[in-house]
Formats: sequence, structure tokens, C-alpha cells
Amino acid sequence: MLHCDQLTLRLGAFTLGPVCAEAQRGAITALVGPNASGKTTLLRALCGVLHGHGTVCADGQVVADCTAKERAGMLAFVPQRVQGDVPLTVEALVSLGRLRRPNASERIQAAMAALGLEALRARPVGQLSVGQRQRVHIARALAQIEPDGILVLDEPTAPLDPDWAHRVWVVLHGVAEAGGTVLSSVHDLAAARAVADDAWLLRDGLLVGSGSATSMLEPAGLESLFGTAFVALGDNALPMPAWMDGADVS
Amino acid sequence: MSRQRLCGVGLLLLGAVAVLVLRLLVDRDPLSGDISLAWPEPAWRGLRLHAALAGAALGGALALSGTLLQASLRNVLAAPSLLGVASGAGLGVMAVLYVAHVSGMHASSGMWTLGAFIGAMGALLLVLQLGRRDGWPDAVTTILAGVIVATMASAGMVLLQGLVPEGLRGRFLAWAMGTVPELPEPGLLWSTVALLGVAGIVAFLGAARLDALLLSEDTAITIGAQPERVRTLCLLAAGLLTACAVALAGPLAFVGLVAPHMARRLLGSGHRLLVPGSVLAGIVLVVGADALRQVLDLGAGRLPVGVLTTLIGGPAFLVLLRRAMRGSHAAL
Repeated sequence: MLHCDQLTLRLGAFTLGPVCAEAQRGAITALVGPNASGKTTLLRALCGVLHGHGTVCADGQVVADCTAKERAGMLAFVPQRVQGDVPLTVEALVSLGRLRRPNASERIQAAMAALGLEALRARPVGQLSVGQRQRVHIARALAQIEPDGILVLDEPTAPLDPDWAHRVWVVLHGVAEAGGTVLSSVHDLAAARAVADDAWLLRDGLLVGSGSATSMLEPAGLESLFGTAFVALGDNALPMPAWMDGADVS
Repeated sequence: MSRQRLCGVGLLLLGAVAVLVLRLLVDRDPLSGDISLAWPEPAWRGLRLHAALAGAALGGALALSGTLLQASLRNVLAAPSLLGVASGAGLGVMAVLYVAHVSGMHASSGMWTLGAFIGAMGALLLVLQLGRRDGWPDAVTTILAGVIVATMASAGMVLLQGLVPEGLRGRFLAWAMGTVPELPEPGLLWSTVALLGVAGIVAFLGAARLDALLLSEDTAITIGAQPERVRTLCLLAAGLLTACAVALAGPLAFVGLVAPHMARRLLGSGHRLLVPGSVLAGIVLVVGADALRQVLDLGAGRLPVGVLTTLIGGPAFLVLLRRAMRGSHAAL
């Protein structure tokens, strides 16, 4: 479980919070909001990369009071822009997930297998496509945590093709099913509605809504969040911007 | 370890042993110009052993310094000579010698090293500050700032040379060109060897932390690598290693740039192999250049070893700069 209470952070002219929210164990929580609403800042603050006021707790422990080693054992983070020109091999980079953890080659191998990286294990990461690099970093994060750990991801599927985006969501669903906590920012609202259990809505640095994904990610709420009309699509009422329904961009 | 990497380790090890043996055996008759390979007479044995050991110590120290700078700044062009660290250290030593000369004091090896360390760290901090862009040292801007600081420090050294008497000036000049000493100050030599040993072992054991510095700051923090602490330690160690090497032999250019790249070509970018590989490559470069200069006489006596390392390293730097400008860091 990842929990924050009165989390406030000032970054230049931007102010985040105060934010009070909780990502539940055994669930995927989608963080949704317009550009520059503070999603990345919030995720970085929750992981202890940025330090603000208020409290962040990971599985009951105050993150700010943890040592770097303890924090690395509790939660893993996949940033939005992964380093592209890393001159390490795929296997070496995924293994760095266990830098401060007991070596567990079976977790490293399992993470690489889950992200389809076995054939690329000896390739330098810098020679891979953007999507492949993203999979490497997700595998590194998977190798880092225990099966019931906390995984924080910033738009993990943005550079992935539809097939790999689906496979990554399946992997994340597996983490949640094993008792882990998954918190991910998402711009693909249909995917968020389809895979997430809960959702946090963020606007101008403030949490304007949190609850089940089905209740949060419905057209009226999203219209007020993004300032554009949404329609519900299909039996699952997946939200889609209204302009895409018979879109004419001429 | 793959067969290719194993061959790389063997090649560097063999190369280091070969140049050390060559430095002990090679000789050139100054009158006839005949070159011979023979175990030296007892009178020369000590000098050659010391020269070989000094060359190995400073080659290893400069190479390790370059490896640590490249990792901590995430910049494949970083090196003690290109960041002004070596020239800063040189200016520090010159300043100590000048103050000692003016005040009539004896400048001990400890004072040399202290002067070099203050000069090295001063130059490094200045360059990092000047090269900063969006809070992080930009690769090319940092090198430009380093070249400017190095040029200023070199001008300072020339200025100090002009302020000392004729007899001392020759010694200043020879040292400033970079010369592997045949009679090194024992305190300086052994402190360089000890520092290289300690820094090399710590870097080898912390190789995974150095690998983590190659990742983005957010990733490095969240995997528990403590990048700020590791980076500070690396910069301090690089400054100390360069200070010792410069105090021992003068500012030798490009060894700290070329040696890590030689090792990277053979052993890859993982620091578990790169750290010892760079040290071996540094030994090959410096002791090899020192052995080569024993047999080269263009009419004005033996060339300073710094001239040879610059002739090798300069073109290598231009190739690396071209690659870096193309954004092909990953291929390096």
C-alpha cells in the first residue's frame, strides 16, 4: 500500500498538493490528469526522489525515514523518460534492479522473460528501440521488488505498440494479483478504465477525485477534468474524447 | 564472462607485463644510437625499476581518474586533462614550489601533493560550475569550460616559471612537459601506489554503483544507488589520483581519456571489468610511451613522455568528440 497525507511540494512556479491519497495493495491505481497537472511530480515525490512536506508511507513505513537500501526494497519506479544511451547490456541493466537487494537471478530471469527480453539479453540498451528500452526498464523495476512490492510507473505504455502495451498491463495485473501495489500515470483513458481498479484524478497539482476506476473514469468527470467532451464506448463504457467519434480535423 | 571479454582481459594484462619488461630491458647507446634489449647493469637497475613502477603508478592513477570522471559526469569525453584537473594540479604544484622558493623553505612531497590536490579540485569545481546547463554538467559545454580553465592554468604555470631563477626554471619546464621520473620522490611514489590500490579496490567492489550512475538520476535514486554520494566520492578520488600523478610526473595529457576507452572497446562498459581494465590500459600507455621514448632521439635528446601521450591521445580525442557530437555515446 502506498499512502500520502498532506503531501505538498513546490517546484519553481508549480505547487503540488496538499494531496491525501492511498493506492491499495492488490490493485492497479491509475493516475489521470491533463498535461502539467503534476502527475510526474507526485509520482517522484511518492518514490522519495523529490522531498516535500507531509507524509508518504509505503507498506506502513514512512518513506522519508527509510534508508536508500530499505526504500529500494519496498518500491520500484519507472520514470517517464528512461535513459536512452545507457552503454550496458540488457541483462546488466535489469540486474541493477537488485543493486541493494539480495541477488536473485531467478527474479531477474523471470522479469526478462515477462517482458520478452531473453533474446536481447546481451544487446547494449543504447542500440534498442525506444519501446524495447521501456520494456527493459519495466523489467528492471519488476526484478527490484518482491512479488508483493510497490511498483510506481510514469506512463509506462506510452512508447509501446498495442500488443506490448497489452502485455505490460497483463504483467502489472499479475503484480497486483500477487498482492503488490501498482500506481501508474496513464494518458490512455480507455486502457485505464479497462485495467485499473482505482483512479486518482489530478488537476493543477490538486487531487480532485479518487475512487474506483469505473466511477472516476466516466465521461462527465473526465470532461470536467480535461475540459473536453467525452463519450462512453461499447459495453464497457470505455471513455473516448467526443471529437474522435466521427473525427474531422480538417 | 564471455570469451571475447576474457581475451580482452588477457590482452591488457599481457600488454601491461610486456611494456613493464620492455621498459626494464630497452636501452639506447647515446653515442652510437644502437638499441639493445638486455637486463640492465646493477648501476642502472634501480633507476629502471623505479621508472617502470612510477610509470605504472601514474598511468594507472590517471586512467582510473578518467574512468571515475566519465562515470560520475556521464560524459565519455571527461578526463583529467580535458577538464582542467591536471593543469589545475600542475598550477598548484608550481605555486607550492614558487612559495617555497620565495620563502626559502623546502617543499616536501606532502606539500607538492597538497598543492596539486587543491589546484585539481579548484579547477574541477570551477569547470563543473561553468559547464552546468539545467542543473547538470552538459557534455560539450563542460569540455569547453575545461579547455579554457586548462589554458588559464597553463598560462599561470608559464607565469610562475618566469618568476623563478634560471636554474629552477629548467626543472619547472621539464616537469611541466610530463616526465616519468627515474628517481621519484619515495613519499610521492608510494602514496600514489597506495592511493591507486585503495581507490582501485573500492571502485572494483562498488562497480555496480558506478554502473548505476549511467542511468537517469531518478532511476539511480530509486534503486538505492545514492548517486550524489557516489558521485562526490568519485570526484574526490579522481582529484586525489590526478593530484598524485601530476605531483609525480607533471601533467600528462590524454591518458585519462584514452585508457578507459581502450578498455571499454575490449571489455565493454560494465565497471567490474572496466575499472581494472582501464588501470591496465593506463599502464600500457604510459610505460609503453616511456619505453618508446628511450629509443627515440630526434636530435635534441629523448622526447618528454607527455609529448608522446599527447600525440596518441589528441587524435583519439578528436575521434571521440566527433562520435559524441553525433550522439552515439552508446556505441562507445
